[in-house]
Parts: sequence; C-alpha cells; structure tokens
Amino acid sequence: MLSLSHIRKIYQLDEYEPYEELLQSEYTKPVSILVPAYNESAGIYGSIRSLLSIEYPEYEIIIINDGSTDDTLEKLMDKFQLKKIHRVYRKQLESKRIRGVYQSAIYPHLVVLDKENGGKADALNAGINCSRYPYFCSLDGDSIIERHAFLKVLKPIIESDDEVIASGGSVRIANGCDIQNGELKSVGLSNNPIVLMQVIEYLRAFLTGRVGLSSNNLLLIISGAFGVFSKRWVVEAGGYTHTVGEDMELVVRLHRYVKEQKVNKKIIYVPDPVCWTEAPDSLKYLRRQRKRWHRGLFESLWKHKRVMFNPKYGSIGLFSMPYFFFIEFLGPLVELIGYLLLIVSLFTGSIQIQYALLFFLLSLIYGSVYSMAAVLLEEWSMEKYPKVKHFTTLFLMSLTETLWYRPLTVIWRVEGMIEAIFGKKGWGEMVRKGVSND
Amino acid sequence: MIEINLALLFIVFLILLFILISLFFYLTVKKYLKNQMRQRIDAFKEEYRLAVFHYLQSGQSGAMESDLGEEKVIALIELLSDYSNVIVGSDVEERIHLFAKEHITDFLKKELKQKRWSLRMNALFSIEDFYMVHCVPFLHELYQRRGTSLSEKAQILKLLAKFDDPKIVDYLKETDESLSEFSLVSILSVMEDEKLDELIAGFDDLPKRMQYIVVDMIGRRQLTGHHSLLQRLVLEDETELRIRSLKAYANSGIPIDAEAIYEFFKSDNWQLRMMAVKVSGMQRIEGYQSTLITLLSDPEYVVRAEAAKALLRFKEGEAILQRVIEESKDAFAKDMAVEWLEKGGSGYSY
Repeated sequence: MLSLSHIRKIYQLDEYEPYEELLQSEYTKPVSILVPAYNESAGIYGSIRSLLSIEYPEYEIIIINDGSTDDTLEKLMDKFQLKKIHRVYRKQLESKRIRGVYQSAIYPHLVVLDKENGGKADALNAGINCSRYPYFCSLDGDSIIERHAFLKVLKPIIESDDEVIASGGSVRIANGCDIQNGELKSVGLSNNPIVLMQVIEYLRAFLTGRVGLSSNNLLLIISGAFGVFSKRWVVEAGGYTHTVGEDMELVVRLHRYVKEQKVNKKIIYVPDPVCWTEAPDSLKYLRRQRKRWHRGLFESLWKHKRVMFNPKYGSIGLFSMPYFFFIEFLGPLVELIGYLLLIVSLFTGSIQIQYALLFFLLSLIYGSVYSMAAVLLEEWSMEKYPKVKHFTTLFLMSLTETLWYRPLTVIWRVEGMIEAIFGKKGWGEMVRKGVSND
Repeated sequence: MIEINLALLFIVFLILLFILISLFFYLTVKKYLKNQMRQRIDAFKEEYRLAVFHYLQSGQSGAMESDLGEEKVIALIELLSDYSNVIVGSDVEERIHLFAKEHITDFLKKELKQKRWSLRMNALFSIEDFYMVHCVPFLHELYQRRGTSLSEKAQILKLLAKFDDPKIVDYLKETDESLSEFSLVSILSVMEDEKLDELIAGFDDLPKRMQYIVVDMIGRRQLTGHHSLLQRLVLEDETELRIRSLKAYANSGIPIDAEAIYEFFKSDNWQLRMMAVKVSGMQRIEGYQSTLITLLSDPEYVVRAEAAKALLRFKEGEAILQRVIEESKDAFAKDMAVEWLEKGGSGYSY
C-alpha cells in the first residue's frame, strides 16, 4: 500500500520538464561515475558510449581496469586515445597498487585507472580515491543507462539539501530491448521465458518491496546496477569491503553508520527505471547468479548480525533486517521443505489426494497472485512497455510462475545458502555477450 | 477445522484471482484505448505542425478553430513545447504566449484542479514554458490552497518570481522552512533585480537559510550594489556566513579588502582557508603569492588543489609551479604542482 500511493503519484508526469531546472543550475552536484572492469572487453565500449551521451551538467567517468587479463585496457587505449597523466589522488580508502592513470584525448572527463587485480570492491575503492566529485555512482560494465538517469536519481539528493546520502534507481532487463551504440532506442521484451520471468521478478521486487521500504527509510538494497552515493559518507563508513554482494553490504553499513552517528540521513529509492542490464538467459548462468546473490545476502546479514533486533537501530534493526533474514534468506528453505513434504506425503499416503491437490492449487494461486499484481501495478503506474502485447505476455507468464520458475529459484537459493554456510567464495563467471546490437 | 480453513482460503484466493483477472482486462482495454488515443494525438500533431510553425514564424494565425477537443489541445501543447525549446526570440515568445492563452488556458485551468499531483505539476510546467502570465490568479489560488505539495509551491514561487509578481517578496519572507535550498536558489535566480533588492533590504530579518542563499546570489548575479553587505558579513562571527561571502567575492569579482582575508589563511577551518585561497586567486592579489605557495603543503587536499589553481591564475603562475617542482621538499606540494601544470589552462578543472 505504501508503495502504491507513491508511484501512482508520478504516473504520467512529464519525462523531461521536472529535470530541466537541474540541467541548467550551477547547484546540481557533480558526479563521478565509477565503472569497474575485469575482462569486460566485449561490452565495455558500448557501455562507456552510453555514459558519454548522458545528460548531466558535470560528471567524470572513471573506468577502473582491475588487472584484466584480456585486452580491456588496450581496447580502451585505442578507442578513446588515452594518454598517461599525473593525477594526485587521496588515499582515503585502502586499495591495491595503481599502475597508472590515463585520460582520454577526445573526452577530457573520461579517466582510466589501471591497477593490480583486487576484486570489485577494491576497484571501487580505488575509484573513490581517485574521484573528484562529492557524489559517485558505481556502474557495472554491462549496463546501459538512460540519458536522464542521473537527473532522476540525483534530483532527490539535490532537493533534500544533502539529507539523502544515497539514492538508487530501478533496474530493468535489457534483453529484448533495442539498443544501439549504447543508447536505448525502444523498450521490448525477449521471447525467452527465463528472461521474461526475470523481468517479472524485477517488477515485483522494485515496484512493491523497495518503494515501500524506501518511503520509511527502511531500504537495504541499492541494486548493484545503479546507485548514487555521497562520497563523504561512504568514506567515513569505510568504503566497500570484499564480499560477494558489496553493494548490499555497503548500504547496510551506511544505515548502521548513520544510526550510530545519530544523524538524520536517508537512503532512498527512485521507482523510475533508469538502468537496463543484461540478464542471464540460460539456466546455467541464472543458477550461478542466484546462488551468488543468496551468498551475498547471507554475508551482509552475518556481518551486521548485531543490528538484528537491536532497538538502537530503529526500524532497520527491528523490521528490515529480520525481514531480509526470515523472509528473504530463510524463506526458500521453508518453501523447499514444504514442497518435499507434499511429495513425500503423497507417496506415503499420509495425506489425501484431494487435500494435496487443494494445497497445490492454493500455493499456485498464492505464488502467482503477487507477480500478477506486480505486472498490473507496472502497467497502472509506469507503462514502460508500450504494446498491449507486452502487457498480456507478461501477465500470462506471471500466471505460470509457481509451476516452474519459483521451485527452480527456491532450489538454487537453498544451494546458495548451503554454500554460504560451508564457505564457498568467489563469483562464478558469467559470459558477457554485450547488450548492444551494434 | 482444517477443512473449513483451507476451503475458506481457497475461496479467498479465487476471489483475489478473479479481481486480478478483471483488473487485467480493464487495464488491457485501457491500454488499447490509450494507444489509440496516442495515435490520434500524433496524427493531430502532424496535421498542425506546419500551421503552428508558420504562425510562430510569421505571426499570422491560420484558421484554427477556437473550440478544440482535449486530444487536439494535448497535441497543441506538445507541439508548442517542442517549439518553445528550439525557437527563441522575444516575438516568438510573445506568439507562443498569445497562442497558448487563446487555446489552452481552459485546459490548464482544469488540470490545475486535478486530484493527481503529476497532472497539476505538468500544468505548472506548461505555464512556465508558454509564459502564461495571465494564469497568475490561479497560481495564487493554488498556492494558498491547503494540501498543495511542497514541490508545487516551489514551482509556483518560481513562476511568480519569473512573472515579477508583487507578492513574491512577501511569500518568500514567510516561506516554509522545508523548501529546499535548491528550490530557493532556482526561485531567486529568476527574480528581477528590484525584487531581489527588496528582499536583501530586510536581510537581517530573513531566516538563516535564506540569508545564505541571498549571499550566494549576490555572488552569482554579481550584484555589485551590495558590496557593503558583503564587507560586513566577512567580518561576521558566523563561519558559514563568512565562507559564503568569501565565495560571493570570488564569484562576483567585487574587489575585496586584501587585509580582511589575511587571518583566514591561518584558520582551523579548511573551508575558510580554501575560500580565502580562491578569492586571492580570482582577484590575483599579488601580496599573497608566497602564502599560496605555502598552502600547497596544506594538510587538506582541497586547499592544496585550490592553491595550485589559484597560482596558475597569476601571470607568472606556471613559472612558480615549475619552481615548486624543482625546489620544494614537500612531496604533496610537488605532486599538486605537477598535476596542475599538466592541466594548465585547458579549462579542465574540477
């Protein structure tokens, strides 16, 4: 309900007018865009191109080549005519050694850091050290952002007079959209059911959960693909740490830090979709991603376990953390046990077949109802998908969620849980195809 | 017991499912109709495009019906706003204004009374784009209405400032505390000079936040007439006011009394040091060159960077930095000098 009133409010608001002011004002805060890249040779050019065409008065792009073993650096050197410069940076956060700083001869606001490999968090910390502006944004090498993305996400920060210290925009799936030269031409849908289900999943997570949580300052996650942070607060809170889900961990830490300092600062979330990212389109990679996410969730929760049920941290400790622990983290396990029990009892005959069927139908409807509602909500409030066909496809797909997709994710998440507890580290690779059509 | 509950739950879900499916049909139909309407609006736009362009160029209005349906009005609004972004010039502005006054006033008046916030906002933006000064009475009405949101109020104040409404100064004096600094800046930047003078005349009675912004505004708009106010504020005890007035000096080029800033170089507050450095660079105060060189070794990074930048503004700036690189024993100062010499006057400054 909380999320309903907020997002309907901006339905049909003009796309550009509210931000015109920001574009012209000197008071708009400049932003450093950090793009960590590790072996991203395939997609890096497209995403940097999309960054060069964004509309924002003042920004710099810092690509951090995290000791890539492929030709990422050479490609950048060649395409952007990089030349080595002397740049003084403040070592406010620890990071691996920086081998060199380069600047593009064509775009003076494009800087490339070449450093020794140290992982994503380490790369981001190096980027923060080197950045010049009071706000920064971390961006994955494989996402495409809309031209007005920064205006939209920074608007609440600027208008709040720095009370908002981090702001995230919602992420949508790029597969199926028409993207040329790093720019989103038109929104479309993929034909792949796995991708379609993920689209619905994103709608659900973003439209209901996060907006609702944000208006109460309960937001824990700023999606890995798009978030703007106040540099000062991140540095004070200690920067990124090496975990699987470094974004989520950082957000939790910021919340914690803010509460410990007893200041009134907010982390908010903008429902407007501003960033389009490539989703895994095969079960193999989707499984890896889900397992990784679940491990990330666990690490973040574990690291900050002292916040849980601690009244000192207000609603974060009493509501958000328990929610993420019980519903998001433990939920899949409970669900899996439920599925298993159902099957076992069917065979042992300890449950009548009618009940089993009834139960099955119930869970079917329950699971899908939420997703259907999310699809309807998107249509009611955002209308990002232009065609009637898009809407009907999504709606019909959401009906089938419980039948196949949900059980799969449940199994993967439980796998992730087991790995988290038995301590598997690392990312698992994902082969990037690059989302740009050029 | 369980039997009843399960059955009940089942019914509840069925009802829910039913509601969702009906909603789905409703929204599908709505989407379909909307897409149709969009197509019609686009068709109208194409139909009117030339006529509107011709009118804006020459001022001769063709045979445009006076009583237009809603879709046609929307098409016109979109056309006008496309044009108002690309064609500039006072006659064009005047024509846009006249055209909008005739054809879309009624529509906007209705939109301003809408229940949904976004539609009211859009109407306010249109009023701004089409210079619809005659809408001012509706603006006052909306401003005073209870339940008008802060963002609407900010936009209304900006419009009143732009249209040079006599009430703007009073409204500003009693504004809501929660209006953001950013909104206040955008309002004050479009205010006419006389109105701003009127506001500044009561400077000491203004709320603190408004004072800060007024000082910024003196700098940004280079209001040299308020020189004496700045002079007084630099000596004020309050640090924030000092910092802001130094910034105003740096931005406006109003000559500063060099002695007044001397003590700021030694301040514990790095922002004060930075601003003092900035002012002496902007105004090229010769006497402080050696101080600036010392400040290349300031513990605060921002101050060091600002000092290098300030030195570069002097005629012999490059030579000074070169000397620092050769002679200084401080690695921080050297680094900073190397970096800024490399950047030179290329304008690539942060």
